[in-house]
Amino acid sequence: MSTELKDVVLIQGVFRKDFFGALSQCKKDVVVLEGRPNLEAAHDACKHLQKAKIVPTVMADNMAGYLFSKGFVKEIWLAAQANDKAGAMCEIGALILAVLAKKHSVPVFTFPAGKKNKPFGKPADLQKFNGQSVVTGKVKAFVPLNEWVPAKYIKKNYE
Amino acid sequence: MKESPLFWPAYLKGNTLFVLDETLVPKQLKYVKVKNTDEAVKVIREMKTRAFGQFLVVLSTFLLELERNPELNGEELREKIGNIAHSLNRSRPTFPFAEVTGVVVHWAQGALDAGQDVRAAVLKNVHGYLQGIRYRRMERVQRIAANIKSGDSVLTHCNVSGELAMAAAICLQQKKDVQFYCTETRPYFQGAKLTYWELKKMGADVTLVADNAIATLMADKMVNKVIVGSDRNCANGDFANKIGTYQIAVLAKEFKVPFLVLTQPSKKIASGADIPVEIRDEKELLEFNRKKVFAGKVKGLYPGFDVVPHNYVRKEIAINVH
Repeated sequence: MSTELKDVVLIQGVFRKDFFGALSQCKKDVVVLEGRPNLEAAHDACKHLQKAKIVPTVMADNMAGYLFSKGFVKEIWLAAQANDKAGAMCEIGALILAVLAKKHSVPVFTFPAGKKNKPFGKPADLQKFNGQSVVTGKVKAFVPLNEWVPAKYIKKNYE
Repeated sequence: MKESPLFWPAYLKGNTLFVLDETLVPKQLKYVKVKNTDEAVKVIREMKTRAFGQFLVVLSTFLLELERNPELNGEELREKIGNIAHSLNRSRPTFPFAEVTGVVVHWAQGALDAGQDVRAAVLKNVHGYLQGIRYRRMERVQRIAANIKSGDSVLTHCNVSGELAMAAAICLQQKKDVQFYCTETRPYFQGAKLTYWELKKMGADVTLVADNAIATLMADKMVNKVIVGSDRNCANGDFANKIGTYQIAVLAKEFKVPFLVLTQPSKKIASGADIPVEIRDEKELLEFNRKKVFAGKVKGLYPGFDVVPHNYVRKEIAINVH
């Protein structure tokens, strides 16, 4: 168990490949959030981090707050699909991290995303986890895949 | 009042304790047979029961052991009860089991000191205590319903052992127009499996969301109230609840959404800083249905609970302990 985490860079989203090259210079612990519903962000990040000889620590999307509450998070990196002066369009979950970062005075940076998402997924996306059934039968679900992070939460957008 | 199976998820029949295996709900309503303290500890540790179910199992384990050991005299029973308490207290660190088991040990010791029948005294007190809890939880369900207004859209997280679903049923009877959103609640999906299911079963309008969608719900004003449970409460109002609760509380404050919490008032622990947070095995996060989720070398960190400071709480809906 990785309870020794103390100095964390938290990353979220599917990044352009050159991001991981830059991250390999980083001396901090890299924590990757799962990225429901399809976990693509975590699968992609783990693969690239392993190539860069970094062993990532995975946490579920609801566990970021714990790291902040312990004072472990030092930087947030979000994959931005688009940005302008008003903010950035990021993967769902980014606004949670941005608000937590504001509360805990942690800087938020964005880096170009490696892909663009559709705005919404399907309710059926929440019926499975990693290809296996979670709930059977139809569910009524709201499945946003992106969210807008206003500029007030972002320290710098990198191109 | 229409009752959810999660409201009272364990019962004693003869010398067997039947515990609802919440990991199988909603696919199956299957009860695990518990025959002794070790098996009770196991169902708690393996999270087959959780939240209120754990307290019910803790108290019922004393009844079970009294039933199964009719030959023990007063002194032997007091010792047995002390040993049961010791085992249960160590089952999961974040829960205040010692507060409950300590009361039972006190009853046994009190009866022994007074020269009374220890078995009869403990049986009477535990049954009375359980009846009292049941009545008070029923009464709290009414107060939860009273806190939900027509037109409300309520976000909840994890599962509050039937109480929210039963309050939703009351709201329906009262013709209130209420929407519920429940989070999936990784890694065990209690929100998707239990809360979504029981709210739907009660006829409520419920929508499932991923844990990472809560900020959009609040920023876009799709919810106007948060109601969550609590697993451990402190004298200053801080509380521990399922992992994910802290970030919901921070977001609720940022987006000015009232944050309500169901509490069990206790003065035994001063503040949230004194609550030990259970770190569970990373396998529970990195595997799903025994299948690895991520290829290659990865680590996992699975804190079971968040501690939420009291300043995030707009209102406590407390069990009446008086």
